[in-house]
Amino acid sequence: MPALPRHRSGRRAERSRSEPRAALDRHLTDLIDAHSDAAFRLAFGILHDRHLAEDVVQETMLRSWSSLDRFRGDSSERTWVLRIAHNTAVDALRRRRDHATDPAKVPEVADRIDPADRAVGRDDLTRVGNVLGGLDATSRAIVVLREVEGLSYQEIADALGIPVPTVKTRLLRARRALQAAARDEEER
Amino acid sequence: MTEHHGPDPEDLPGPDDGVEPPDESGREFFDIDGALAEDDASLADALRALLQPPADIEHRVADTVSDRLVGGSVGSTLIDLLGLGPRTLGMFLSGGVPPADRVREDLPQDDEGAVRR
Repeated sequence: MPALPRHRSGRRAERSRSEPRAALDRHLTDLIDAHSDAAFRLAFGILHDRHLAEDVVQETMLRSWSSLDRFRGDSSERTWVLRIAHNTAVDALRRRRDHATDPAKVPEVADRIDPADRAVGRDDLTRVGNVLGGLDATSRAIVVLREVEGLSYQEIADALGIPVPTVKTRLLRARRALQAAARDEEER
Repeated sequence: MTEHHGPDPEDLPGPDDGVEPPDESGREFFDIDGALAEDDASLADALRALLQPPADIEHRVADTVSDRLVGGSVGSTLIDLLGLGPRTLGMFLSGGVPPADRVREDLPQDDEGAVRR
């Protein structure tokens, strides 16, 4: 269990929005500020569930902070944190699969797309989201890490524990499927 | 040259199947590096919009993480301060009386309820 924060902020009812951040260890705060966005995008890309993705981000930050002393610097801090985020998201995916006794009860990807996006005519995102959701979890992670986070093939391979040729193959397949989905939407 | 497309994504296993597609290592792609070199900014933009986190994600994560850490620390501190062992703590939490304080009604007692020896 990580050490008690050095500066306790007081009772919960008296905490302002900024007080919890001041009460956290500086290293933990730095991790949260630097990597929460990227960890969320990766987790949401894998899980297609915003609430679960946020849970994964919280867990990732705690795991990263508690194992900071084991970070050897072989990769960038971002790659290291995203590796933890990927593993945490995959664990959540397996738990969700194990708990789903009826496949029909697992919500479709489209149901998890923010209704506000559909309301303002952003159904193109729904289509891309559907295609992304139809990929296997590893391919989804590769797409997010390359197309959104801009990681190199080697960094992606390190984060996911797979060979670079596999990263390239999966990425190209996924990219073509997603591009086709985006083109179909434009032609409507 | 005829453009070669990969396998239909609908034929790939679903996200929860746990079955990974066979790794062809790029066998079906003539020039995978060349194909990958073609950047698609619109795809990146669409994905970024699709996966956008809440605007206050850092605050929300910090709040929850802080609550988890403080809650765990309070629990640990309480156990240490009270000198409670796991058995006693379990009885305390379940509403039972720790063994040392329980009156043994099967033993002879004086008027004040103390056990006679």
